[in-house]
Amino acid sequence: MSGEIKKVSDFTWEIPTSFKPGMRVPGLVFADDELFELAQRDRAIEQVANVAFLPGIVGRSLAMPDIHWGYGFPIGGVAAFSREGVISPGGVGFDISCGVRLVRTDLSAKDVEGGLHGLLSIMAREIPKGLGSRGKIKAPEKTLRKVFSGGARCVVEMGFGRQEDIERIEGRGVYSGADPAKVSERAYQRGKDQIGTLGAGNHFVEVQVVERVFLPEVAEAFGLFEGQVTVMIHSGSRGVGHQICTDYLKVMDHVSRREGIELPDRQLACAPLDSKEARDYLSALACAANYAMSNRQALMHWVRRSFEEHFHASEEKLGMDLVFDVSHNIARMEEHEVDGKPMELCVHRKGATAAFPPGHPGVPEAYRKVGQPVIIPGDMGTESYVLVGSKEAGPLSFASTCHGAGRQMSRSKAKKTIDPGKLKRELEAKGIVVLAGKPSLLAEEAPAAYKDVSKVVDVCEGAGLSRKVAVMKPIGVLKG
Amino acid sequence: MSAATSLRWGRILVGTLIIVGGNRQKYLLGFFEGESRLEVRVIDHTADVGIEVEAESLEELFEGTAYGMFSLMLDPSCQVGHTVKRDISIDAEDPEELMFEWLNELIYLFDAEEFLLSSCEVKRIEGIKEARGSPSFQGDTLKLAASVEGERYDPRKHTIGIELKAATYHQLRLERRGAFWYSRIIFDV
Repeated sequence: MSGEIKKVSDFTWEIPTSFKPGMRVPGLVFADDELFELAQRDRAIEQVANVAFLPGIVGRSLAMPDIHWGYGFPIGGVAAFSREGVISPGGVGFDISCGVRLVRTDLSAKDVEGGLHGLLSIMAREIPKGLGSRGKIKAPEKTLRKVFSGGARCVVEMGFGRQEDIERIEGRGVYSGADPAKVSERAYQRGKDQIGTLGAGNHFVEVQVVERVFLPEVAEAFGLFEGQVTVMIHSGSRGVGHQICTDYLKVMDHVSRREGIELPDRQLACAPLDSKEARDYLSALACAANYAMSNRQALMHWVRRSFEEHFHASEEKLGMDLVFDVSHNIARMEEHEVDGKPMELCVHRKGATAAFPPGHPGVPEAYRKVGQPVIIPGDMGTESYVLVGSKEAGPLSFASTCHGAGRQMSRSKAKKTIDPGKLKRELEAKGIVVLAGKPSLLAEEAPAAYKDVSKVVDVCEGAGLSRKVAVMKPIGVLKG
Repeated sequence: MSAATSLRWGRILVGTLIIVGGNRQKYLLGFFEGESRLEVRVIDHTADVGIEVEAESLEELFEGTAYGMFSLMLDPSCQVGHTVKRDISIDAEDPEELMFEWLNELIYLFDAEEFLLSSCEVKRIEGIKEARGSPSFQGDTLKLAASVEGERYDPRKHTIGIELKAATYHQLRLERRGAFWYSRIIFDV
């Protein structure tokens, strides 16, 4: 490796094509000095350079401030490809359409004080979690086909949610172009009883309190106010997405060889967008995205039921409206301006979130005036944020921003250095109740294992990728 | 083909050398079966986790990666019975793809059927030339035949370790290193 990385502004670093021979475009990392130093500690920067090898990449190979070492693409990576370019399952990840949704309430902090343990226990009982957890919704093949093509709406029609929830989900709860025939028998097998299951790892349900509002007008449009209780849900497409990614990685690996595409890492396997394999993958990815949104819809239903049981009031009465549901592992065809001309691009976001500006057709009607809500989960002990898309992000980052805090410590190191019992006591001293399936998960997901989410969102704001709307602090966390 | 008789789980302690016989420090687990040695080491990765495995035969290498993977997926103190048996056959176009498919096959069995591994025997691997340097393949297809034994997940008996979503192609290696076969696999967590 040769070419020097150059700091081009307070929040941007350029990786020139001379950094690694084979790069078709430069890389661009959004970070301040401190976050960039963290990014350089592992191999994430090299991964930004590797993505720049892919045919048809437009603009720059981008990385958000929460960048860290992933497999293939870095986590926090954004890359857009022209019609003559490629699509890469590794640029989406195994947990296709992993994402977050935020539920508001009319409750304030004092309404949950004291009763938090009780509320969390009900949620722990209602929400299947942990590895290999089985959901309460059984979805035989026929049902799965409907979920794969119809998305969250199908789950609402099954009785899990309200019609108006649909209006507050990215793409109105459906990723179009899904074809259930492009999904393997194995993905059906894995998906038949995982709708409405949380999974393990970094997935969670969290009860929070809005600590501060930064943009009152936007917060009001989102239904948020200071002191209010909110619930955040972080989960993905479970085994369905993992299987679809595995299946298509193998396909794309063969296509890459057939097409003579040179790859610095095999996990970057890809196919030309105009190939049958690319079309098949996009149709299967759509099924996984629809499954993921359905999963979070069902999870929200159990959260609402838990609140109803705890507060002896209906969820409507408690004001438990969905604020938004957004994916942070996804690829989709979007129109962006390139060199002053509109262009249809395949935008990959792996650990990055779409952040459309006010007026954009991709923003739900209810929010179109203010811009798209972006939901940024922190880690167990720290704040989470609601951001809003800004006009500047369009040309800067294909309308993308960060997705979370981003890991800075490996799981094994976290397990070695963090005492889960002590951590639990520390969190409780800060007023945070944690229910986790097993103690070691607490250590793996400890705040020290993550970068400071506040710094990440500040860099996003400083760089013009998104603006801060509100910050929420956790009070109750349910982990796999 | 060497006599790849099924290895036992034995008593496995994460991060500790259990079976003497090597000179490296970072064992996750080690096995002795007759004269043959198997080493599995955990690779630290910021977001994910990986293993490196060394074994004397190709069959044992594949067995070793399976044990190594389940040692991450399960709490090491778990006892896994032998009540479920499955035959596995896999085709691939090159050795690394064979490894990718083999481990993802086992992850599938775990996720779809709650299968936990207690022992495995790789009976045959056809099509890989056992030459020094990178393994090359003969003909168009590589074939692996194995039988695995284990038990269905029982939350009263088994404690789950790390959720592995899949074995990835990221930095995937399968090669001959001196007297040993070596493989490196990074998993998505």
